[in-house]
Amino acid sequence: MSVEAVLNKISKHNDSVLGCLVSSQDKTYHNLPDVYSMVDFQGVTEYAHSMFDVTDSLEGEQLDQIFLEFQSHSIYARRVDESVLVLVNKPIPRTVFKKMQVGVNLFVKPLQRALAAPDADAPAPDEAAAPEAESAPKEGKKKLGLGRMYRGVRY
Amino acid sequence: MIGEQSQSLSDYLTAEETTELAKIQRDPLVVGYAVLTHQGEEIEAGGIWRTMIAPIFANVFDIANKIGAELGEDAPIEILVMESGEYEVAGLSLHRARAVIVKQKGGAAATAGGGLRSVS
Repeated sequence: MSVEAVLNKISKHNDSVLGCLVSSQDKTYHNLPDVYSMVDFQGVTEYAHSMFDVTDSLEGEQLDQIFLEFQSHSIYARRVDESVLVLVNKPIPRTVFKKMQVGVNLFVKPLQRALAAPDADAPAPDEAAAPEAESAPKEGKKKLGLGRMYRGVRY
Repeated sequence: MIGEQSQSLSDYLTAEETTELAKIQRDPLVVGYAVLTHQGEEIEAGGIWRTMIAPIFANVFDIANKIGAELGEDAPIEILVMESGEYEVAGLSLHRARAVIVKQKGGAAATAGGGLRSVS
């Protein structure tokens, strides 16, 4: 399954999700409606990386999930290996956010596999390749230093 | 109970917010907190990461507001929550200050600061 296909499934899984994106190395994949065509989502994901990066200064604990509540949107972001997954949502209460966390958990492993597979964005990938990719995410799992390239943000 | 309230808090918190903060400080699951100005200056902090919470979360608030700006939000961030396996950190935008509360997971961890928010 391609990264875009996983993102599409995440978007379809919850009515509150307006769109989602994930940044991997220097590439951003997204599943977003046209209404957001004017939004710089590369910038949004870089900011999300930066938030995680800043809080890495807190000794002994790595914060790996973010929930942001704005007037017209809410944002859920989480680390997925060295990438960051960002969900743009309608305004949602904390209880719905908790359900969303659980729902997104279902898609983390497929997303890890898709991000790890070099041909993840190729059309109609061969299903036979999936078992090989399955063990790949574990190799990079502890590399959560994240985002040194994202230090452009002031902090 | 962690920390002690300083007199300067009353310059930044309403009476209700001060009362709620006192309740939060007595919560055994709350292990750290900070109150900072909207400009990011620390007013008071206590518990875990006490020297780090205000400067780090001042930046976190700023970055969150940049995300809001990208999304076309007119108002600044109201609530932000960050989680690790062990802790939840809730950041709240109040009338004249920001509060950051670190709570151990377990129980109704996500409600940290809920009372404080409700009086803002």
